[in-house]
Amino acid sequence: MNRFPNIYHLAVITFKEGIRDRALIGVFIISLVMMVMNVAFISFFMRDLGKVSVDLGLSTVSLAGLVLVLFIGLNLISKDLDKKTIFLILSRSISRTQYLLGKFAGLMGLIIMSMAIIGLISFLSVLLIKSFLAGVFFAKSFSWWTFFLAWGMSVVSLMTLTAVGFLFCTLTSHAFVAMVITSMVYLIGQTLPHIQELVLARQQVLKVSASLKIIIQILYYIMPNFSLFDFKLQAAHGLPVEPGHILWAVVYGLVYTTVCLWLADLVFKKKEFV
Amino acid sequence: MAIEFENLTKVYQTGLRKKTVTALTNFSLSVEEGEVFGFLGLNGAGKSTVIKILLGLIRPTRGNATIFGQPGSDPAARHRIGFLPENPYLYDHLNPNELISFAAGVAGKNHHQVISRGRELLERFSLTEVMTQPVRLLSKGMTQKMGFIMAIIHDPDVIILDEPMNGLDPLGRRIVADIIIELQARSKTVFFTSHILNDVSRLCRRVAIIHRGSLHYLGRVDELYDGAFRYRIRLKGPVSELTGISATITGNMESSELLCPQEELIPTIEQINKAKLMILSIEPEREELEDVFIRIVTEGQNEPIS
Repeated sequence: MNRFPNIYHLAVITFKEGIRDRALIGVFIISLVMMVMNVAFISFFMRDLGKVSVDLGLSTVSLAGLVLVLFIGLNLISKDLDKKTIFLILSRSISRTQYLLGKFAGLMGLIIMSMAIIGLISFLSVLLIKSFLAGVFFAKSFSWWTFFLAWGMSVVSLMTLTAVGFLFCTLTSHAFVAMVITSMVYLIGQTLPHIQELVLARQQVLKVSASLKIIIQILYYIMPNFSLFDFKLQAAHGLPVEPGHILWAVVYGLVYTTVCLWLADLVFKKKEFV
Repeated sequence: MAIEFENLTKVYQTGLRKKTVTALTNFSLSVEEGEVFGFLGLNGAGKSTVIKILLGLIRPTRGNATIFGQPGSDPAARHRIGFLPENPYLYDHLNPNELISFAAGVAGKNHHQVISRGRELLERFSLTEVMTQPVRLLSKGMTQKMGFIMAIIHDPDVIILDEPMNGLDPLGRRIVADIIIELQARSKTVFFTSHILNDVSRLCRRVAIIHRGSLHYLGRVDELYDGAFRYRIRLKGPVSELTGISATITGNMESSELLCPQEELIPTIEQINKAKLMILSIEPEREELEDVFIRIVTEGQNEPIS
């Protein structure tokens, strides 16, 4: 069976279907407006202009990516299930695993391309601010490498989030439910590591019960740790980044993504398309 | 055998209370290679369930469904299949050209290999002008035609069509019917469901009728008409004195009409003679396939075939 061509053809139609979605143009326009605002209003701040501009630029990238995954990406798979387009796909010599991988690959192509465009807009806005408006306010140790690292890690974070979304899409079959649960997982994944840190560091002061501590610990290991991919602080302040941290974040992202896709595949293989 | 269903039973469990619904009961059927086979049944009779099991979209509770001896759940078996679902929903933002490329690509065919066939089919269905337009701008009939093209573009050996005439104008129906005849001439197997019984009687040699998840009829279309003859008897004056006949009576003070089954002709004429009524005419009539179908599924004349 032609495994890789099938995945490729599915990825191509998923990418084309996503790239022509009008909502994507909306995401680009909002990102552009945010970047224009970044340039236009930077002089309103009294200090740390470099930090604010980098932070806003990278936050826009992350936010646009989040909207892209939740509102366009997950819809691409849920709509197949909801509108029964999947009948046209799975009635061909395409296995369910190939379907999931093809969809995922197409969606990742869409995410990487969109993030590249939004990242470029973000880079240009920060470059403009650094070169002409507030160059002296940038940390001396500011490096474009860390800026692009933070951008790259946003892509890894979105890859992980997409895989989590795929799992919930296969479990629920409804775009809205999958989107709500994935959003909740994202929020929990962003904040839980901080809560866990706080609970462990101040358990005497906070008087945390043993059972709550166990629950937080369990959730910490199950939920995806999205804060691990956040390098915005380092980029904004020009802080050094340890190579081990980067490697760990990438490996964690890849492993978490693989596990989610594997679980999604298990669920999907058992699914009946009535 | 091109397609074979063996003792298929499908039981669904629905709702929180896991209420069981039996969609299919011991359904067995074989479709020979090169045959155009009509699969009939009312809405909810189980037609789509049978097709979905064959394509591996749902699993049977019991039994098997195979394509050339291989289970339909195996993607390799589906390599030889082309499928048009009922009310196909295609990708909104893709155009007919891209959909044809996709269908050909996943079937292992080179785009250039099918490009001429794709163009020919698009031309035949008058879709050439919209071949670069997004599918969301196509009408229901055009979408149906596109779904049909996607089902046959890779030249499969078995074509499964779920309501292929749905939403088509008379010309579209004629083209689909012509293509089915051409496919049969090339020894392709066509298994299709339709509510338009005229098309079934015109295209198929054999049909199966499914009702409430069980097979109620399996045989040749012409055999389906056996016993489907009736007589229209016109009488002078009103009919009030005829008793003990199983004929449908309509009429007024001047004349009456009796519609009686073939086997009731002699007893009915005897009753008419006894009542001293004047027969104006006796005309044989053949029931339409539609009437036979309704009789089979509603009057329960044919018990499930085990």
